[in-house]
Amino acid sequence: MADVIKVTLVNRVPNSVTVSTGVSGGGTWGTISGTITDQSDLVTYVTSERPNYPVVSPDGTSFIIVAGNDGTLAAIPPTSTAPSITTLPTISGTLNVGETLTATAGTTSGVPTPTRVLQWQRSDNGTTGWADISGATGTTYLLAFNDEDKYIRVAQTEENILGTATANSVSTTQIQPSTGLLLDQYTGAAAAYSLRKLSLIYSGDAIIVRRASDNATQSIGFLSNGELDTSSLESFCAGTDGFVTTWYDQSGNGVDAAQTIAGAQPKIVSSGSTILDNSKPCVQFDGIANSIVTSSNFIAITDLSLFVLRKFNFLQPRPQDIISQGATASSQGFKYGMSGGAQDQLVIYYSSSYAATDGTTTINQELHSLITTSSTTTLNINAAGQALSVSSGRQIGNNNDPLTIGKRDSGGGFFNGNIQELVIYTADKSTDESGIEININDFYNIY
Amino acid sequence: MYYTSTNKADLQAYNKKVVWGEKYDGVHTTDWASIIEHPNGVDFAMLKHDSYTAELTLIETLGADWFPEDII
Repeated sequence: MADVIKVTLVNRVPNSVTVSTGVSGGGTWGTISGTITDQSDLVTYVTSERPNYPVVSPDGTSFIIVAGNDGTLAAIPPTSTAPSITTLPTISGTLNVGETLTATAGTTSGVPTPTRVLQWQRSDNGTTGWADISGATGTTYLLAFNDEDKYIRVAQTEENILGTATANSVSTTQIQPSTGLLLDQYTGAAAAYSLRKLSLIYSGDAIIVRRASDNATQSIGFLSNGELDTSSLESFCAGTDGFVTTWYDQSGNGVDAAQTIAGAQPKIVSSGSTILDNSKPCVQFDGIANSIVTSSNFIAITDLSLFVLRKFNFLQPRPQDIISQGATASSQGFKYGMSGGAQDQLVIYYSSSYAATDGTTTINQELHSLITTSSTTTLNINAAGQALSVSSGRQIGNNNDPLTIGKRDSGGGFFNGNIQELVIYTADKSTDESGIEININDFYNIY
Repeated sequence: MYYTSTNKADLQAYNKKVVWGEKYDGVHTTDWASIIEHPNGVDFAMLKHDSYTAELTLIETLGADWFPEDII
């Protein structure tokens, strides 16, 4: 098939025009009669008076000159045809947030071969109001949070010099929530630390680890199944201990937790082996000096929903704080962990302390779901409600401190135990609490 | 194990000794340990590194008097 050849006006003699190709060797092919004074007139003339004007190039090749749909003239083969789409484009893939859809273009014809553009579109009802999704012009499309409950289709456009054809795929059914990862399903976390992948949207690693043998560091990510890449971790820390210098926030808010003091970094590899709780990796705090601190303050005057999977290794000395912020009367922060009386305890510091305590703290691996609002404070341990010492609630107060994990912000209270997951919402997540607990337990098999 | 001193500079020097010896990268790890200040304002302590010694008083643990707010 011959290339499309652009044609331009080269001789402005009234009523007679010479056209020239823009390719090497094309030369001057002949004249077209008419009232022609400039390029615009030439296009108008060809469109109205001489559509598909036949010419023959010096080498004997036949062409027609047409006014193309881009507003210019072109010399194209006489067999050229406008684009046509004879079957609709189709969409394949799983219709859940976080999954990738693939478009298959419909069958097309047209000479010269049309240029194809795919455009993914979104609608509230699957029938009307279709709007282009910005930047979504590839053959695949990753379903995002804002696609949930919407409908998706793909528009296929084929274009050549003779025209344009468009066809739309059939609409998908309604896009469903993510079925897999916690933060895709329960959105809006303020911070989330885990040794499993919590969001398909999150593309970063899990931790940065320092090995004791030479103090080199390496970032450790996830396997395709979402679990921590312990092969890379153990290869890097072969025969030595590994310590967490950074525990990445997977919420998308960038509130990473880090520790630049070597003696305070919690451990994740012991003598070359990943430390495990119930067969899953964990971050181990030594109860003496370990803690990590978030990069910024993000909890102030708010409802708080806290989901922490923890295990105590020793219940002495007491108290031991799993997380804290401020945690003094003057800083108006809070702490959560084991009290001096060996009870699970939330303390919120206002002008006076608000302490919600539960029964005796156990050493077991447990999922604690703590929700505190201005009206209620609740604690579920392994999805079972606990009787607290308070009947009312209290929001977290105003303070400017970052969150400390593994000890009391203001001093001691070091946690002697392991953390596998810590997810924080600065909101009341009571309605999602059960689902979040199921998601965590499905992975960790706690109870 | 902790080293204690009434001179904060002693513990700062011990930290530097460990940092130089261990060649921390200065990015992800910058120091060996923090100085812990006793509420009395006189005594200071620092976690001991297993491989480095100093001519300072060594104690097994820090008593509850170092963290008076831990009583809750």
